[in-house]
Amino acid sequence: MFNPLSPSEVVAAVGAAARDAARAEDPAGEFARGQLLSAASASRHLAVELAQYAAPLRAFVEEVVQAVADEPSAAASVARLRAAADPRAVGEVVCDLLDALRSEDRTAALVQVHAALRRLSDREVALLADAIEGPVGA
Amino acid sequence: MAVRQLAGGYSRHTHLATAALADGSERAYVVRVKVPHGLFDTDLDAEFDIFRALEGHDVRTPRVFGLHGEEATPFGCPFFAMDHLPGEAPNLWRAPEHAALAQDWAGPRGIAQDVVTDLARIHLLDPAPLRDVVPRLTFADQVARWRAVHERAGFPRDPVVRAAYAWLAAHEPPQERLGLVHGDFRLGNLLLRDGRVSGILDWELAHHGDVRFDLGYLALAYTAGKHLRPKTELLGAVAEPDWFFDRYEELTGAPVDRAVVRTFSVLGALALIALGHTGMRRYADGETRDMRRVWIRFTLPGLRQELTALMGW
Repeated sequence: MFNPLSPSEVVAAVGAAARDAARAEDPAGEFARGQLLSAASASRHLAVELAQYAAPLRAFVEEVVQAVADEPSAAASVARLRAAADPRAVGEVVCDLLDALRSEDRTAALVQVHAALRRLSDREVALLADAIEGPVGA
Repeated sequence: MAVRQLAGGYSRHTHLATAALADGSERAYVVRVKVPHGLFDTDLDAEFDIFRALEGHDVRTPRVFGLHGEEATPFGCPFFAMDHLPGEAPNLWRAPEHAALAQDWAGPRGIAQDVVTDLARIHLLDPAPLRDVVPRLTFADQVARWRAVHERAGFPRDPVVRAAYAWLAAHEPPQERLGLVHGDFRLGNLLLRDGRVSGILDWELAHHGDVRFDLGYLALAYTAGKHLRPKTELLGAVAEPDWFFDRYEELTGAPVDRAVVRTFSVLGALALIALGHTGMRRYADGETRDMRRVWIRFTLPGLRQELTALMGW
């Protein structure tokens, strides 16, 4: 979820790889074919991200909000979380939240946020795996 | 002489050079070329020196020669040549590669035995001759190094990565076990031929430090080929973990603390993430057009998932 390079930067990179391949004068060797395969794979992964990440991210934000509901010092983070526009912004807020919970020794809340991060991570991998590697048992 | 570039390699480009000899035969060499704006800015001269220092020791590495450290070479970058060792490095992200490895484990275990034996040999080497060749890095140095690399890339922060660095601070191993660390020891950097290991490559991250880094790194599901779902339960894709660690203990005489291995697995995953961020930054800044630097973005979900599991979340 908290992946560097925005989706639009990835799309531009895929396009650049296609353009470079189209403009190459020599037949594609092993390295050049590898570039195109990377571009194709990136597009498949990005398609999953664009189509399916929004819902689990929203669910994660709600889980974190619930986890820190009894933490008065987390009120500002909750507001920032709800206003966060994309996963990278959510990640920044959660970093600040975790730092604050650690510094205040709020172990119970920390454990809940960690568990929410684990579930989000598992969900992200499952979504990608179903699309890229096929459903389990297929 | 015919030269063709091979696929793979993020900080070095590898070329296969075939020379026609006077007697009509051919001889193959591998040429390692330093890539501008590579994933890790390691010194090609130092890598050459490491290979040279390992010659004569009981470690399966190619002989090296012909170091050209200047930029003005036919490749446009510094390079050196090495013997072309027989064998192929398996691509563990491809499921079919695992079938052969599983057969080796279920049967003769030639690859499994060689991997653990080679790793033990590396760790048992007298580090003294290599002290001037490889950097000395304590656990704290390693953590600081990879954290600095990660932060220098300057992308938005990842809460799992941030928490993992905090976790490492609370799980520093109490005692070091010092020796030569390969730094990137995985099957993808080994050559296999006829059911045996025929060569050990890619020593760019070698250093003098806690050798258990190599165990933790090899124990990552990622280095056994997990991109999204695990492809094998075998450690490093070659052996059951308990067998591997028991055999390593027999060979080295040193007990393997599984909790310490887990600590180094976390460090290994963070190193991989930091390297990936470096590659993405180089692409974003226009220093490279290598699409693989972008694709590496999609390894992060699996690595992040592995970190959450290692930390017991």
